[in-house]
Order: sequence, then C-alpha cells, then structure tokens
Amino acid sequence: MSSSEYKDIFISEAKEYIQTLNDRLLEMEKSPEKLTELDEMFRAAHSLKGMAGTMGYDQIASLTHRMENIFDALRHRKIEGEKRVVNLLFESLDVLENLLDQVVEGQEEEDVSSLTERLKHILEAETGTTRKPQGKKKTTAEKTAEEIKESAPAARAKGEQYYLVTVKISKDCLLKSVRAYMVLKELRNLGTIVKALPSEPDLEAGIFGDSFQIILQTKTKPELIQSSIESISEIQGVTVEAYEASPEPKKKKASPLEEQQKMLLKKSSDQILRVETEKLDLLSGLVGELVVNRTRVIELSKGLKDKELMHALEQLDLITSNLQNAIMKLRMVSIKQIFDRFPRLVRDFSEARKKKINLVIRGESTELDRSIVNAIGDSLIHLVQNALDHGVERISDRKRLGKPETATLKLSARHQGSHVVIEVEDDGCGIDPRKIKTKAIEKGIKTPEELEKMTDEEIIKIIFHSGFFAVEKSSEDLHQGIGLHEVKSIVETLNGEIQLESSVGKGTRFIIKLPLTLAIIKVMLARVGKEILAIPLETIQENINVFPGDFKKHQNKNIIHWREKALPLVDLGKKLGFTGQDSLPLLEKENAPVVVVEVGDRKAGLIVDALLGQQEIVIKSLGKILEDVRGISGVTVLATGEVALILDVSGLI
Amino acid sequence: MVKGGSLSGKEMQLVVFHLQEEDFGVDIRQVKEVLKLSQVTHLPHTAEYIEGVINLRGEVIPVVNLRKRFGIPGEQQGHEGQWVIIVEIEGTQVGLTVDSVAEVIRLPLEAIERPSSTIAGTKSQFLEGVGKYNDRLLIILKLETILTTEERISLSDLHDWSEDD
Repeated sequence: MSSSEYKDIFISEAKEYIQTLNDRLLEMEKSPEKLTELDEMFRAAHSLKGMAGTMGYDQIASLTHRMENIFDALRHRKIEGEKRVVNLLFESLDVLENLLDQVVEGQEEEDVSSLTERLKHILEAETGTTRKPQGKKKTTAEKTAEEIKESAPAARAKGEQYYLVTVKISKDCLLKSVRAYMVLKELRNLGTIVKALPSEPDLEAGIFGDSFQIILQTKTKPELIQSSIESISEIQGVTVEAYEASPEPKKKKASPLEEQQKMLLKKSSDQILRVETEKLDLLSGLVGELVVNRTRVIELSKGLKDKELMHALEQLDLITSNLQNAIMKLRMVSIKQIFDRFPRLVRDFSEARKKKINLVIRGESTELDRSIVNAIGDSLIHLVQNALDHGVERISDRKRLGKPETATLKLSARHQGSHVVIEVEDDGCGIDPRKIKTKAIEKGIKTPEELEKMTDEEIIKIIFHSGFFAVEKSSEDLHQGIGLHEVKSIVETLNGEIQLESSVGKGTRFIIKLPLTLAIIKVMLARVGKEILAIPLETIQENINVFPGDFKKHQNKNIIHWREKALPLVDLGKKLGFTGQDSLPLLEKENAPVVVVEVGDRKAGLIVDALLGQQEIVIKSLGKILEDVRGISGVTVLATGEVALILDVSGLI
Repeated sequence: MVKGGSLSGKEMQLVVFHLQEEDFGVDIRQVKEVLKLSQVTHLPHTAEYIEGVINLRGEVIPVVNLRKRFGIPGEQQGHEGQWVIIVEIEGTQVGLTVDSVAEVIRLPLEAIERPSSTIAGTKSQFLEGVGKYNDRLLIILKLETILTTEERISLSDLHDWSEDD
C-alpha cells in the first residue's frame, strides 16, 4: 500500500471523525449533562490525533490533541461546557476542516498554534494552572505502572492482585469493537481495569490488531477470569498471568508507528473496500454499453425465429438487468452526506441572527446517485439559508403573530417511484403574491396586464425568474433570495423539477423531484439534418404530426394550437445550426413530426425530420474541452456506432 | 514543459505532421494513435474549429480542426478519410485533423530552442519550442494551451516568433 493510499484512507476517516465531532458537539450543546457524547468526542479526537500523528500532519495532530484534552476535562467535570468553550470547540472543528482540505489539496498545513494556545489556555484557566494527576479521580485507564507500584501494597492488603490479561480475537471476527467492548465489560465486573493496551477508547472503536492486553486489579482467581472471557464468542485465546508492576507489559510490542499503520490498513480492508469513484464510473459506463448492446442483439435476433437463441437471450437479458441494478446500487449514496451539514449550519445561523429554529430532518437514509447528491448540495444550502433568512420571522414578530417562538425548519427526502423527492419547508411568513407583483412590474419582468391574468400560484413562481433578484440581491422583507434561478436550472439540468407551495403567514415549501440515477436514461431518438438527437423521455409529452396549414405566426414566432393552447415551435435544425439559416423547412414539408416537450411549466414543440424510436442510452459527458455546449447535455454512442447528441431541453425552450 | 520519459539520453521524440507546407511536431508521449477520420457528429454553438465528436471504440472524442484553429485558409478539412492524430491532454483524448502525418523523429534537445518570453511576446505560450530538422523549421506545439484557451492563434503568430529569434 502506497503512502497516497494511506492518505486517502486517512482523509475519508478523518472526515467521518470530524462529522462525528460536529454532530456530538451539537448534541452536547443541547443537553450538556449527557456524558456519552463526551466519551464519543474524546474517542474521535483521540483516534484522529493518532492517525494524523502517524501520517505526519502535525498541525492536525496538535489541534486534536488539545481538543482531546478539553473533552477529557469536560467528561471529568473539571471544566464546564459553557458557551465560550463550546464556541471555541466549534471554531476548532472549522479549522480542522480547513486543515483537512489543505491535506486533500496536497498543500502545507497552515500554522494553527494560536488556536491551540487558546485551547490550552481555556483548560488552564478553568482547572487552575496545569493539571496535576489527581490520584483517585483519574480514570483507571490512565494509571501508570508507576502508580501501580505505589498502590500495589495497598491492593495486596485488600487481597487484590494485578493480572495481565492477553486476549486474542479470531481473525475473521466481524465486529472486533463489540467483542472488545464485551471483554472490557466482563473485566469491569470482575475487578478494576488499571490499564489497557491499546487504550480503552481505541479498543471500543475497534482500532487494534487481533489481540490486546489489559491489566486488571482484582480479587478474582485467574482461572475464573480466563473462563469468563473465553465464554465470549469469537475469542480465540486468553492468557491470564500475574502482573508484577514492571514499567511496561512484558510482551514486546511493535513500535507505535508500525502499530498505527497496521491498524489503518486493517480497519479499512476488513469490511469496506474504498474504490476511486473514477473506477466506478468506468464500470458503470461499461455496463451501460452492455445494456445498450443487449437491446441491439435482441432486436437483431428477433428476425431469426430461433427458439433456443431466444431462450438464451432472455437469460442474458435478465442477467444484464440484474447487473445494471447492482451497479446502480454501487453508485448510490445516502443523502445523509448533505443533510449532515445542516444541523451545524442552522445552529450557527440561529446564533448569529438571534432566531430560534428547530431543525427536523426526515429520510436522511434515502439513497440516490452519487453524482446527483454532489450536484444538489449547494442548492439545498441555498434553499435552507433563504428559508432561515427570509422565511422565518424574528422572535418578536412571531410572538406578535401568536406563533411559537421557535420556528420549525423541515428537511426531508423520500423515494417516489423512480424519483427522489426532497422538501425544504419552513413555518415562516410565506411569500406574499402582492409583493411579488409589485417587484415583477418594477423589474419589468411582467406587465400589470399579464399579472392580471395570472393565479397567485403562478405569481409566486416568478421568484424563479432570472431577473427577479438580479439587482437588489435580497431585501429583508422579501421571502427567498439569491440564487433561486440557479437552483432551478441545476435541478433541471439533472432532469428534475422544482415546485413551490406557499401560504402567507403560514410558511413555504420547496419540493425538488430528482431522478434516481443519471447514468442511463430513456430517450426518443430523432433525426435532424444528418445528426441524431436523443430527447429525454422525461420531458416528452406527446409526439404529433403537424401539417403546413397548422402553423400560425404570433409575435414573429411559429406557433400551433395544441390542446386549446398556443404552443411555440422550435425548429431544431435551425436552432442548433444544422441546417442553413435561411431555409424554410417548416412550410415546405408535407407534414413535420413534432415532439411536444415540457420542462417546469414551459412547453414547446420541437420540429424534427424523423423519429427513430425509443431507446435506453448511457450518458457520456462531452469532456473538459467541450464543457457547456448550449442545448446539449451530453452524448451517447448508439449500438450502430454513431454518436448521438443528448438534448438539454430546458436550455432550448 | 518537457519532462523525462521518452528522452532517451538528451533527445526528444516527436510525431511530425504537415499543415499548409509547414512542419509541426508534437511530443510522442502525448500521441495515442493516428487514424483516418470517419463519421463526425457536429456540435451546435461551438467554436468554429471544433469539428465535432467521433466514436473511438466507445469513447466519444472531440475533434479539433487544426487548419481552422490556426486560421489557415484553403482546402477544407474535416471530410472523411482525413488524417487525425489522437492526443491525450490532461487526461482527456482529443483528435487533431492534419494534412498529413510524416514520420516520427528523434531530435537532440540542443536542436530545440525554447521560447523566451521577453523576445517572443505572448504567443510563445502556444509553443514548446522550435526545432531545426533537416534544415527546416519544426514548430513544436504546446497542446495544453492550444486546446484549452479560446484565444485566436494564427499561423503567422507562431511563425513570426520563430523568425524573430
């Protein structure tokens, strides 16, 4: 294993630890009396320190070392978890995250000694100078051999003995941490644990090889200790020997560095295989190709009328479908990744704005495609920030309106067919259509006459208009601010849609509907000029044939009447520059196939030369050099070897 | 910049190709293969010199029309059967249409002059250097910048520099 692979493991594990610290710190802030959070934070900081030290990330190591000390002091009630301390810990977490980013980027870690000094200072100020070992108040695990020596005679007087218990756990044990925990629990019943190697927190976190040692102070007979540990399943061997207080346990240990590296390796390879996402993308691309070619082979074999061949192909069909599903599952991650950021964000916000907010998160285990999760994160942050900023009223206003002081912000995700629905809901002031109207006229987005004809529902959707927040970014009295237009276009690029429900004085709800996966989509293939275009089936309402007499001109645009409404037509050949600028194919054709598409509440008819049928295709990006081709969201290779362009319908109509 | 690798001793291996009577070279380590252009799918609203995309064994690869990139008038490129050099730049494969591919040569490093920005001006960013080869000037392209900026480059820019010096 190369050092860069160690680095990858370090980074992903460090991220998990930082997330744990963030979560637990938030919990602790709510209920400071609970010690479980502190134990967990102490362990997380401790493990992080160890890993960072091994990898040579000195700043992370020294920062987490100080944090660990504070957690330790907190859990032993040497200092109080007051605001000042909690805020400093939050600040430390932010700095820790920055440091980790620097590690990811391969940069030198910045110097954080001023922060570590402050952490140290807070500890010293609270506990009164440097900490002195306080005899009995200290945790048993921290007693040194020195102390054992001192207290040994006293222990003997009580009929107690010291034993060195060496426990070996079977190699194929799946949950080492649980076994270790059970051993520790059993030993605590029998006596007092004086020292553990590795430390108790590490043992309970599963950070050890396949054996560990414990020094036990007890009256219990060694045979009994042995048999009670052996009764725990998946324990391979136990030895119990009398322990004379020599400075270190007898068994020769590997150097701490080797030990740590071995653990990093072990923990990561035990149950979870971390794979570069690039490799995963390659695999899912290949499976996609397979799926497309399977369809092609099945098509071709239909003409042969060979029963056995058909039977074999049915099997192939089934297997490839299963394979496709399995690969898709590999690409799925839970939305927790994003939702996890919000407790902290909401907490910081309520601090800064003096608003009280109760964040409710539902369905955080909902899974969807990794690339969608990555793409949607910022949009959700936008929506949440806007809801907190403009939706939720000030405490005084809420009191006046007879609402509970604490506002509720609900963030939820759930599956719905082949889609995932994400909702951001607040119980704030809602969006007032009258204010939107005024502003829409001011900005010249709509005329008063146009607004007359619109329903309130349609009016509040104006906030998605690109010009609505263009100049004046976000004023206090208006609900929802910056970036709504961007949010909408991101969602639409992902083949999803965003809806909005709001009622004045009661609150606002944004509903985002996203496809489960982006890798494979169903499309309608159409020929335009010499090129083949793929139109996502998601967007298609209907295919119709239009005759020359149906066209009408309206404000210099071609329209037809479809379902009693005017439908604007888009000549794809012209729009994409595949046919000459001055050709008039519309009126010359006998009849033209038109694909009626809808994105959000925009509809249009796309004129094509011919429809070639439906197909599942694998989306490929156009790559770095051709980023952002207008009107095209990607490409695909058809079974015939031709390259088809996937239409970005929302960018075209 | 030139890195170690194909530099056996102190020389550089180059794939030489022609465009409008000029000799160009690219570092052989960037060249994946040379093939004849088959079906090109055109892309809307892209720079004029983007010929389109092709399917190379399941990979979709953009094709850059080098004549158009350097503003060379005359015979149109982009027809089927045209020579294309497939190069890899920053992990991405790109096809370059050329008039013809001549040969692979080894050039001693001392026969390559590096652009010095003080003399050469801004256009030197598109050049790795200029080599002397069989009494002819060989323009060695720096593909990274040529394919990732949209700045106009004309052949005379590249040429001016090499004569300036």
